[in-house]
Amino acid sequence: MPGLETRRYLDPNIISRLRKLDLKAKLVVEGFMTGLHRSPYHGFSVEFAEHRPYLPGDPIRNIDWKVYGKSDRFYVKQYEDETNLRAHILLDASRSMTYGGPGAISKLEYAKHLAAALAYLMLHQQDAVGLMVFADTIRRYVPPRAAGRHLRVLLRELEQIEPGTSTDVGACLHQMADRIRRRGLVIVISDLLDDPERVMGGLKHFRYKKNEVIVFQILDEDERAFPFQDEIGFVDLETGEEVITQSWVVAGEYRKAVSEWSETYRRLCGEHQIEFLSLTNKTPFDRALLRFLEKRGRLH
Amino acid sequence: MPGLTFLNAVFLAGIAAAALPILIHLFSRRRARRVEWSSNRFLRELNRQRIRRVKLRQLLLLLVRALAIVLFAVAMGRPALTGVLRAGGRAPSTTCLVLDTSYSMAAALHGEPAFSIARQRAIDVVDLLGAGDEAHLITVSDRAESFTPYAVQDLGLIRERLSSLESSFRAGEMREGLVLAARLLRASNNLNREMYVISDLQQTAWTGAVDSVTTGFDLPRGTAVCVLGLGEERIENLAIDDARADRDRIGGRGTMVEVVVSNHTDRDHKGIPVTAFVGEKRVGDVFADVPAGGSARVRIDLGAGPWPEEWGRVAIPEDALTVDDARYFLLGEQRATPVGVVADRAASAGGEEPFGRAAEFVRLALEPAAGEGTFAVRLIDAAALGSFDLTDLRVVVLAGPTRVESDGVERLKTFVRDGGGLLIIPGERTDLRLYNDRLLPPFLPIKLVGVVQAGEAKGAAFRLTPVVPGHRIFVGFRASPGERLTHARFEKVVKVVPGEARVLAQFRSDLPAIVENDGVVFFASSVDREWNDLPTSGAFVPLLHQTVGYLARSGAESGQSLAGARIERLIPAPPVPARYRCLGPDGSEIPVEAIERGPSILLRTVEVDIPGIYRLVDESGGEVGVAAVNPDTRESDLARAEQAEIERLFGGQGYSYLNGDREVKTHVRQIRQGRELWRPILLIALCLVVLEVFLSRGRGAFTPAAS
Repeated sequence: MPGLETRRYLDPNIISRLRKLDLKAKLVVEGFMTGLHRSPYHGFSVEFAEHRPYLPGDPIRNIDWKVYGKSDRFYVKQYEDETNLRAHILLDASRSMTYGGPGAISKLEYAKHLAAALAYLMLHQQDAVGLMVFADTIRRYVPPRAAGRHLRVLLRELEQIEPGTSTDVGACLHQMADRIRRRGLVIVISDLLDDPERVMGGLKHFRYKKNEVIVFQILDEDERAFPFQDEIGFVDLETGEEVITQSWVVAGEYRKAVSEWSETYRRLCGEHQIEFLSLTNKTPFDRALLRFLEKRGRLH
Repeated sequence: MPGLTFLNAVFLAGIAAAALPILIHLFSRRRARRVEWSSNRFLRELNRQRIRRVKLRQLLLLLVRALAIVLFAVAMGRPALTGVLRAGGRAPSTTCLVLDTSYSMAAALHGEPAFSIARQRAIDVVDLLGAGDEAHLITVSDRAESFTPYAVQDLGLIRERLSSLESSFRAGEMREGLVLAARLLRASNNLNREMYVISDLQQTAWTGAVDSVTTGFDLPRGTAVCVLGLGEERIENLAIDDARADRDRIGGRGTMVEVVVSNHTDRDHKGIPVTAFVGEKRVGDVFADVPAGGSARVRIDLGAGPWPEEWGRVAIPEDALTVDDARYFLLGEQRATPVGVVADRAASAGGEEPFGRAAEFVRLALEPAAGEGTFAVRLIDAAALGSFDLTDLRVVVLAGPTRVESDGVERLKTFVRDGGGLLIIPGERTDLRLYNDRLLPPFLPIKLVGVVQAGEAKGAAFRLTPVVPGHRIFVGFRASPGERLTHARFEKVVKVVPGEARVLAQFRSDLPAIVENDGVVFFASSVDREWNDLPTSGAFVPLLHQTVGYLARSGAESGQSLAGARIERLIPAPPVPARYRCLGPDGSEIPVEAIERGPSILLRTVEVDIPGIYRLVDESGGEVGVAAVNPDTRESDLARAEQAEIERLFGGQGYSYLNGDREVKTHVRQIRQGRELWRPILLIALCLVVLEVFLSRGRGAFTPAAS
């Protein structure tokens, strides 16, 4: 069944085998959309671009009855000039993002794929999408555009990302918050391996400027599960520092520390109406995309 | 010096295995791999907090494992603390068993004679000797005797001898045994030397050893000494110290026997029945009240006579020590002991003191009234000593003669050789040089150095104190070493170098006062009141009586002898030479010799051991004399010598004491082979293993599986 075939492209391992990012993005989104047909989320438009849910006061003549027939919900056709979402994808390309456990893609690769899929999805919905790549500073910035060919620009930027050295998520977020003039949607894709206080400072800056924020925390499975059982010298990818430890001794407390740290972000984000989703580099992309659509749906 | 040895040293090689846990740990550490990690922000802090404690715990675990292995190897090596036997106990050893056979060892201890226990302990010690070891067996009563003059390797002989031994009826002089044992051990060529002294530690037997200032007790360095004591506490004992028929009332006017009962307990004893027998017939009894630690005299009327036997016996109820609960006495006429007093006759004949004041004081003390008293005194001119017949005398007292000529010395030598006792007292005019050169060498190994004055200050004086307060001559004097025997003050004394002679009393630690050697006693001051006021002190008479009585111990006239002494009886010489026999109380025949003494014959037996009545009979079986032999009651006080004093005697080197009921073999084995330590070390190792199990189970063990 074609739908099932496309669904498999939601698997990061499978999608990573493809060479071209645009193809990856397309397949991810199509796979996601296929799944939506079978999902309880009937309220979303399956026709990319030009539809939006009916709001009281809309002209009845703009209701798309075909969509109503399919979904029992009222959608109106939307013209290109009615697009009002400006989205910025902020992608962390620090060296810590290059980590990937055995048999898994790196967090950066996963982030790229997710960013590509989000860009694909939003551009097909006539949203304007921009990209900022950061590490310890803003490395690359692509202003948001809604044109279809803008996708190629974004995908090319994504493909050309080279990991930085160290991380300063908070400072980069602040810089970006200053740069964004019009409010919109900010999607942060990062492992957030930085001081939570500084990171939240940056995120709150976006909120202060009336932006909606979604944070996708990307971690490797190993970073959560800490599956090591022997004496290992852990070399920090960013600092080069080596910590020799007896893994089996610290494993339990490590997992607990990571969980609490991630939970801190969740809690703090929740307190500031920031969407927070913690993913691993093995999590199928539909979870992320679904969360995005939920957020987008609440915006309109 | 105590040391450490290993009986299975080859197993100590196992200590090297203690390196294994360390090597494994080091080896495993090198295999730590490196992993690139996204961020060490969490690991850094956790490592700092946890790993330090974990590493400490792991280090402790490592040490515990290594130490457990070391201790196992050491335990397998059988370590032993040795204080005695070197080379792990494999070198041959010379062992001296000194066994107390004095009559106090007959006291009942836990229902059996103490000597039985002592004998078994001696056998236990012999059982622990091994191939190549040699042993001496020394029995000690009033003298020390070695079973053989040489060490014996045939231990079966020693056991056999021990099995046949019984306690004697003699008093004890442990010093003699210790001196002999020390001499035998010094003569040994073996690396290891041991002395085991088995005794009830009865006080008077040990007092001479503890307080003696004589030389001769000189243990070889490294000798292990073990004193095996018997019993713990003083055994209560009542004893009959003396029993004599009252010679004043002999001859039909009724005869009394005077009995002295002593109480060697801590409580008064009242109403003690004292029963008198003549022969085997009971003739009377009285009751004695004897205070604690004291004595009482009672008199029993034996009736008018005649009696079927010439001897009798008094008895009190038997107690723990039965030997001294009865005493034999004679009813026949008892003659005074003849004593010769030798002094310079005054140049002018007549005068109140023709033989000088010293001789006069001695005579008066011994025979206050002519024909009366225990002693019969004869005054002898020192110049005529060479031609004087001394055969009728029992004791000769040299009361300060200036000189004794060679012929006089020869007479005295013969006299002493024949069993006579000699008391030498110097005087103001005594030629000390002649004494040193001529008189003393045959009798006493002493040297007279000179006359010492107490001091220039007015009233300065020496005091007479006992060194061997348990000696027979001090009976009745309640003085301990260091306490004055008498209030007499001595302004001048002769300084004596005692040599091998035994010091019985002293004026000062370097001034022996009374020394003795084999039947001869020397008193180091005068008795003429020139140098001291002893003759007019209350101690003079009893001290002189007991000294002369001690020297005349054969009792040839009185018929009383002590167990361990020879019986002597002086009888008129028969017209035709005859042969004589001596029959003991058990009917056995005792060897006796007859010595012509002018008109008399001195019958002298060998030393007799068993108390009782001995009969001297001629060829036809006619009785020519009777003797009563009794134990010397010095041992009746069963108080024990102080352990600390005994330990001090041996100087602390290699000394151990085993008392009461403790297992002899275990103790002796520890002494000989040292105390084996493998048990406590193994126990510690097992505890370490248990500790290792707990440590390795906890978090932070070396391996992930263990955590």
